[in-house]
Amino acid sequence: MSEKLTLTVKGLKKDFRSGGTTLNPKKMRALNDVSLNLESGKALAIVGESGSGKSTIAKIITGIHDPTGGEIELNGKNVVKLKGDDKRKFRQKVQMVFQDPFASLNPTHTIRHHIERPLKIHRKLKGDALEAEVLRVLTEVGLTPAKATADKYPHELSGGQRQRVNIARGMAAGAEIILADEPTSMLDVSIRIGVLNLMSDMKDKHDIGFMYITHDIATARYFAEQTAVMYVGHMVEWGDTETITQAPKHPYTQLLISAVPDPSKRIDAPLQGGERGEIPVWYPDSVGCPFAERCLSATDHCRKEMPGVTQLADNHFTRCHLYS
Amino acid sequence: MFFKLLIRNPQAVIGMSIMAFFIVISLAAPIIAPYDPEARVGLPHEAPSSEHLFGTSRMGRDVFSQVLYAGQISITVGITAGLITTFIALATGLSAGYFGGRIDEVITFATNVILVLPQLPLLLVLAAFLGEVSPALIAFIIGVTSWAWGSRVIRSQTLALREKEFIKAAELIGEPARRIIFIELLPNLISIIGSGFIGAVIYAVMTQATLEFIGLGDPTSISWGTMLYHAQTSSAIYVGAWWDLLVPCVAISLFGASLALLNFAVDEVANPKLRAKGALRRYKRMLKRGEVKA
Ligand SMILES: Nc1ncnc2c1ncn2[C@@H]1O[C@H](COP(=O)(O)OP(=O)(O)OP(=O)(O)O)[C@@H](O)[C@H]1O
Ligand SMILES: [Mg+2]
Repeated sequence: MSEKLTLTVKGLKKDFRSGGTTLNPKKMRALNDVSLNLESGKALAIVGESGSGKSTIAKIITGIHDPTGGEIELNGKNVVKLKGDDKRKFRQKVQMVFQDPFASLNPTHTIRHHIERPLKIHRKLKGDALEAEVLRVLTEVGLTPAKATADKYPHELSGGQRQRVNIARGMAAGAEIILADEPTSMLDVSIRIGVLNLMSDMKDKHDIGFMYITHDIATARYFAEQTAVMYVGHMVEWGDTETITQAPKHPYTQLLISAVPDPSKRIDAPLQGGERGEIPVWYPDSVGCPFAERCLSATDHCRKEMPGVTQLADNHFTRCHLYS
Repeated sequence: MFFKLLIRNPQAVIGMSIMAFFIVISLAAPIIAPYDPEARVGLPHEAPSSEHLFGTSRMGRDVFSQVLYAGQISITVGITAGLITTFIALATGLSAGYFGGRIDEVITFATNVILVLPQLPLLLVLAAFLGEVSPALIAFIIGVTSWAWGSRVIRSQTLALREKEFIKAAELIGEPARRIIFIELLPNLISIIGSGFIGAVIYAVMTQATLEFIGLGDPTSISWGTMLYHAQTSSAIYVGAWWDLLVPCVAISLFGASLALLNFAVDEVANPKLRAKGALRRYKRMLKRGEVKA
């Protein structure tokens, strides 16, 4: 791969409509001031409970949703609202793997179709070269015998195999950054590690950058150098994965990690602890720290003012009044 | 392979056979029919005999020959109207569902207008206004007035499909809209389109018969509907010539039933999940597990 890619997200905001009337819609803020960096050959884990806005980040980057505010840049070039050829080039570089392996492949087409299309669209391959590349990509993601797999329909594959097809599709397009939205959450525990290892390989061998969205902090530690913890659309703590998992500073991260004494356990069950278990909905006019209602150390100040970003170490940041 | 499918699905095989039988005998009418369907070849209302298999009509025409030739027209009208209906339903439903916005508003409005107009009265008024309408015109009228329901169904399916991750994924790899619609969406709609088409053909055959029976058709054309019309106006039942009425009736009913049976096969042909071995059993299992909807 030629030059290193950096995808930068700055101050991303997203409002979704939630009720109200057509003339007077009520809005909720799904993302507030989210900034992050993705690089070739590196992985960033996005960790957070259900509804914290993880998928929304990926969907905005790939253009499924439009951002309400903020910027997205690829190597310094703004990519929001790209059109035509530029959009095609961006899509080639940044691909997404969806959470549900049963819904992300077209049931009426063979696996070959799914791998051929990106090869035709982005790399203009034809005939024998096309077929050879299809088989090569399938072999690379561990779907052997490749020829037999190519002729199958999605329903003939297991969840893990389908997720490999999804990753292969991104590779076929020539993706340099892959946004993986909980790629293993719907798979049996026993096959998760295989898919994770595949992504690890691609990261190391092919210098592909990953955004790894997950509920599972243990796999984040296994796979990603960087981690960002999200709470109700806000990044509350981010930086080096080791530091964040070993010495978490933000009360929410501490709660998350203490809730997973067994590192193989998932954190999608509602967290206990804190003052009340309620996860708030954030509105454009909400004030204070989003975690204040559940935080044991919260003061009046926390309920009134959103904390700014504090740098705790070289590569360790948080948004919490305890440290500012 | 297609054949194996049907073997496992007896309703479909029966439907298929009856329909094939109808199409073959209608096409082969010039060879099979013993008489010219428009010629006076016997006495009025002769009972069925070896000479006149299904008897003769009031005009002394051979009912057997007539029902064969009539099949040509009735089936052609049914299929033509079915094709028109399906085509309009597909074009409107797909565009409304996939593009949304303005396009959807306009199409949905047109669809609703057609839906609230009562079908048969509308056809009656149209036909009465146009005078004695030829079979071609009947096919056209039925076609352009009965697509609304199918369009609705296709639109709502398209709306649901559009949000599916595999469509999003296809958009993300850069598939153009045209390919998303025809290559990614359309194959997932085949069973709906197929059963919609079959339903439209049944409806068209019935409607044509109805219109002609009440005298709005062209009485000089020979179709199952005009046969009924002539039988009725010549009081066939009163004079005991039951065959005159029964034969076209049975033809219409059998043909309609064969199509309805054929509908059972559509799902299986269209769904790759069901094409595999032991499809029906697996289908039932999937139904139980809620993986597919009936
Ligand atoms: N298309 C949409 N319209 C309206 N609200 C939406 C939409 N998509 C997401 N939301 C809302 O935005 C918030 C964040 O959703 P998102 O799917 O990003 O969460 P997530 O962190 O990915 O959760 P999960 O772990 O369950 O996948 C949720 O409150 C959700 O209800
Ligand atoms: Mg999600």
